[in-house]
Amino acid sequence: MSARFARLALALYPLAYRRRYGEEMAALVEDEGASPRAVADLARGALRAHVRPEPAVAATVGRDDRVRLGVSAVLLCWVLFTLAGLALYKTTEGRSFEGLGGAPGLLGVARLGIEILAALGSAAVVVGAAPLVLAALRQARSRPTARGAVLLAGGCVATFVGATAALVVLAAAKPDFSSGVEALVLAAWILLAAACGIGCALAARRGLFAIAVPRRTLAFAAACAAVVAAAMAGIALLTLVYLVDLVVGAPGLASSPNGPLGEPNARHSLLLQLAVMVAVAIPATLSARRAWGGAHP
Amino acid sequence: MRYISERSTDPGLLVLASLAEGPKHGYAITQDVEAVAGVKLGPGTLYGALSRLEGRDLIEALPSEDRRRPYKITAAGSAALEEQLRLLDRVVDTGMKRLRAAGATS
Repeated sequence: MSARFARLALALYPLAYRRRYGEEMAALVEDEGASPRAVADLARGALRAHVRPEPAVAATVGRDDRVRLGVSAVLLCWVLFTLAGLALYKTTEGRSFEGLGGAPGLLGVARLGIEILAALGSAAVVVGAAPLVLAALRQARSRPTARGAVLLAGGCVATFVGATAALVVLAAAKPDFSSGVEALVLAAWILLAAACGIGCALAARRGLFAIAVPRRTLAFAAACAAVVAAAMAGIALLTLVYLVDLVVGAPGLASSPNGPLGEPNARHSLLLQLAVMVAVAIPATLSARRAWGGAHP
Repeated sequence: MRYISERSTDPGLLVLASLAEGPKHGYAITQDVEAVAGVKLGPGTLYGALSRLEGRDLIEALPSEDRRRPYKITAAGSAALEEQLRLLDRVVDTGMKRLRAAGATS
């Protein structure tokens, strides 16, 4: 079991370290045995390598691979960010929230801004990913790794579409479920959507390293990644504005029970969503910067 | 005089001291450090130190043997090791003298 954890910990290292030292480190772990202490030491080393990379090692990753790394990391961040965004949508979908959001003032502006940026970010993901997906589909026949990535991504999308269709059919049938069962069904769908999204992002990363992509296409993907990261930062900022204005302008609504089981209240839900958004937007911005730097040295 | 940093006394010193004997690969370094200093270098700590030392040209990698790549200390690495050991020697010497003096007066 520890050997598996050791492999996982090795996989946490940045690409440059894995390329330069991966084989040697794996050989050392085999020689010494993968004790829990060794696994913890590897995990600490991986974290340090990310936070404070050795410039000479980091420089061994080529420009194109820096773009690949940055773009795929931004996609993964967008998937995680979308989960917080969906939660924000559910938190503020009630009639009282919609009344406030439709009213003139800061709350309405923030809500509209979030919607516009969400649409912009989603469009940038689609537009930036489309040429890469087409390239992966074209090369899937001749490259087994690319084929595996395409199949994984396709399977994730098919699973998500199937689960969503089932949910829509179930909702249309208006079953007599208690609120607890409804919450469970919704939670299961959200978990499945998250798993599918993360699966797609990981498949995209695997596929991106397995195919040949013209530099111009990579540069375009890097530009789209910058737009996505900017949209994430903007949405997080506007969510903060929304939260502050809600707490100040409508304290009753802010402390009203929220969520499928009435807990936590709206303010706490928004705070949690904001924390997730910020935690994801920061690495997304750094990754977009890395991708941009790779495309425009 | 240079400021001493945390990195000056990190596992890099133990690795340099080990490589002063001759080229070694990762496993041989950990075994030697354990025998000499009585501490175990974890794989993440060891390769963190190796990457820093290599980045500063204090060690260099030799052609890989199977999957195990040996490293050797460079001239700059030997000089850095000697400088640090002299500093440590002075600290040890002074510290021991002061301890003995304190023991004599108490």
